[in-house]
Amino acid sequence: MADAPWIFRTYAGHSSAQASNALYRQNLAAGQTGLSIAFDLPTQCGYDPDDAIARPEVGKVGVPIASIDDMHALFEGIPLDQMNTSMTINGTAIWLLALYVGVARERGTDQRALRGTIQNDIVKEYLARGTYIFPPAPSLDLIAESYEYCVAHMPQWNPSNVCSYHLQEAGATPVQELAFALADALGVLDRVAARQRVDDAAFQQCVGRVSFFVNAGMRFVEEMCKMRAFTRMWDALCRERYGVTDPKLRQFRYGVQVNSLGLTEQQPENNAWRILIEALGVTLSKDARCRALQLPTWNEALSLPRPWDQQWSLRLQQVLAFETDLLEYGDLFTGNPVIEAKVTALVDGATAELAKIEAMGGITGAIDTGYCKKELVRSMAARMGRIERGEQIVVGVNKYVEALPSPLVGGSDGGVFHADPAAGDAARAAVAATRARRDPARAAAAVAALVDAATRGAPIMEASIACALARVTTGEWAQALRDVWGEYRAETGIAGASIGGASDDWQALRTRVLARVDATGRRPRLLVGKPGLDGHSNGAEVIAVAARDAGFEVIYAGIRVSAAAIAQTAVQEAVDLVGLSILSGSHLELASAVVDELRARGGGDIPVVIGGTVPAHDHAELLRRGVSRVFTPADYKLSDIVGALLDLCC
Amino acid sequence: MSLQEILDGNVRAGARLMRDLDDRRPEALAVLKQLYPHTGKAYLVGITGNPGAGKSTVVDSLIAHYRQAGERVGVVCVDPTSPFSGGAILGDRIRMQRHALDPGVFIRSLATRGNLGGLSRSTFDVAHVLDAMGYTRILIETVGVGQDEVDVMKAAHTTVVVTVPGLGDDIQAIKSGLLEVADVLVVNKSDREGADRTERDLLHMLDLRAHGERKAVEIVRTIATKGLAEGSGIRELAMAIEAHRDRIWRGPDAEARQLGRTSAHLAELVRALLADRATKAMAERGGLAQLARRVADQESDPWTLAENLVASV
Repeated sequence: MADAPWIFRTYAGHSSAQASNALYRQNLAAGQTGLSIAFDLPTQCGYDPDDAIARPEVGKVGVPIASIDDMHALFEGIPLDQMNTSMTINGTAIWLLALYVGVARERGTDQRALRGTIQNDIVKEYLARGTYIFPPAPSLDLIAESYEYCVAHMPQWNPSNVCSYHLQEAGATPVQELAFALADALGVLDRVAARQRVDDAAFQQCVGRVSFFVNAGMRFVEEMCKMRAFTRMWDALCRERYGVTDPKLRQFRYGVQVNSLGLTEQQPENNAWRILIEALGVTLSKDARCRALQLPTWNEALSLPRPWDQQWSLRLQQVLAFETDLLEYGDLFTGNPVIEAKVTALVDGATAELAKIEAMGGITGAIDTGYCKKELVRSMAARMGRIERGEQIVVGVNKYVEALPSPLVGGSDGGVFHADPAAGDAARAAVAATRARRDPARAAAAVAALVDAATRGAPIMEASIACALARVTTGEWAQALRDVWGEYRAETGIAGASIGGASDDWQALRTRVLARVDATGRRPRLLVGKPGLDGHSNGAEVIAVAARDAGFEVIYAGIRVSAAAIAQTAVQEAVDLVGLSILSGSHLELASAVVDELRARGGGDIPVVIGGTVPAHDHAELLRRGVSRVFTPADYKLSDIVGALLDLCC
Repeated sequence: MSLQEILDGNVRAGARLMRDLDDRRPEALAVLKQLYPHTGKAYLVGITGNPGAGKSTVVDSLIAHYRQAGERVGVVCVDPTSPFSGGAILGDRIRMQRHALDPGVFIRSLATRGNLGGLSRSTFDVAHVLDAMGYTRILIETVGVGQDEVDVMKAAHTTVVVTVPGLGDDIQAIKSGLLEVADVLVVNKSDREGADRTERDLLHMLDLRAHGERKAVEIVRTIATKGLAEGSGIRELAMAIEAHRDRIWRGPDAEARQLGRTSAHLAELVRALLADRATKAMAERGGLAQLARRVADQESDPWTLAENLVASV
């Protein structure tokens, strides 16, 4: 008999709870077997849609959820006890879980029957994704508490997904992905153990509840071996470090979103093949097959996907699972000497790297010193360098560049998704209605109890559920805890990296910069920052390092900076040029805001450029609004980008 | 830019003047000379210490403290220039970003541009502009230094040296030169293991160094990431700085100390100008490599060559 297929999911959510609910029902009707909720950035960072910093981002990269009322609307008509729900949520993970439990309680559904996962992994937020809120200590405690709570009250729920996905997107090599992810998982379990709030049997259950969220790239043989290496190492760690005797509790359980880093804006139709190949890496080997699979869409490098694009990716999974004979066999690779040698090499490399991290005091130590971040920025810089020099072939980018025009992007929508521009207004109206109809005394008391629990270091899950039921908002919940624990700024990792090597292109660029310094007496000064809430900082960091290596002085303002703060920084630092990195789809609003704020401060003469996933049809509008130049993933040659920046500096 | 704009605290004008000073435009120096009579009101606090000690976070929390006290705060942060490309990444202000929109705070980043001692050559020029613009408290953060060569910090009124527990078996990372300039010592991240030992080691080193009377150096423990919250130690640090100010700058030796500060600044200016001229003189003679060739070819010995060169400047 054939094996049951993995869970088919699509990472989805946009505009509003109502619109997303309609999309989920449509996807489920199309044969999807689980839900994967994408939240918008205000929800992920703990702001209400009417907060100033949240305004341009509402409903853009996911669904806005500001209260239990939004959560009810999101799951309208979807029976929670029959659904397997994955929520990509981290800084506010325990809050979204509280809202989900709250909906179950108000519906009369037994919360013990709830199945699914919250991502709830803070390490990769610090290292790559940027939607952290609190400092490491309280953040890790929140994750540990999720384990304690779920093992006791939601036994089928995975309290966190240890994510190596974002590490690979940030440039991690397979060895780094293995080591950093495993160190991350050990950090969580060590924390649970140190808190001593569960007995030994419950602790073993906690180990068994650890699940992973992994990436799979184009080198699909190596990626398959990486999954086997994960399986082997996790089993050994659970046995040796935590003495877990039940083999079932030592299983390496993982879901996958395959790689987006390798998807290209050029000849985007080729991405369909890339996604298929990446999917093979995590499905071919039965012994290391994923439990759940989410695929990106062919047009991700262009913009956010449309429902049809997502359906196309879902069909890939269905064709693979139901038309082929893949699920009829045992493991195809066991005993193969080539595979075995590769797995062993990965295990050895990762074991050494893991030991290095342990010597720094585990994952928190390695984050605190900036080690992990530095290594990732370095790996990413090396990757970009290989592509720029043509040592790593990317079809359509640095080889086989000539192509016929793609009919896929020829439609009236340009082949990309357009978020509802009125989504923000609807979300603001919804949160206002919730605030108006709730019992204010009950809400205030719930927040006070939350603050009290957090201040005492007591568990906050029940207090959060009480907040959910009292219709406290996402922003109120997060602000209460920000006031207790403070906000965190992660290491940038850019100090140790370098990009511009000794190649002719870079030497020529440095000569140009020097010539400019000699001629004008001015060393070019560039401000790089990310306005808005999007925390994917790799692009901004790589540009900062590349410009430094060309001879620029680069003021790096980091992530989550308001447009006004970027403008004020540009003026105070008297820079020649401002570079913004925006991946959230809010480029029109954010770029306009920065240009306006610069003008208001007498800095209207400072040119502004944008880099990010900006669809072609928005370029003209950005130029009209005062942006000097737009860079997209098609601009992969860093020396050309920095050269263009230099031209703008005069 | 006009003198009056700077004195009125115009941010754009002040920032442009700082840029011109950093780029060493002669016309900017002329403006600075005119500004000089309007300076001398600010209190300069230097913040130095090991790389990774959390200097920027200490500065961030001190900004919050001084703002609460109603002072206008200027900040100069210095990061190293890459000797390879001449470029630099100036990232200190990330930690201070919450003050970006406060009109009472002006943060300026500088690259060392080949200068030694953890500061850029324009640091005190920029500090003078901030002073003239009406910033009464100026915090100067050096690059992360472990070595000596921090003499230039003598030009600040109070120098704070920041270290952290766990830098190794002993505290040799704080070299004697750094200890020499410390008016206040900070053990940051003091919730980490080893804080007691670090403090003990620092005390021990202060005692060892003291020949006769021991310099009064307070040691303050901070957890700067806590901001101004109870137990962060930032208020205590500010009090230690004030105590030093009372002791020295409001005490009987104030005048002598002021002369010392001015001497340090003046000596630095003279040294830098001489170095400029020497560089220029060498360039006129074909550059250092060319001169070295003459020594190598035994046309001259290096002492005579150096003497002749300097005599010509």
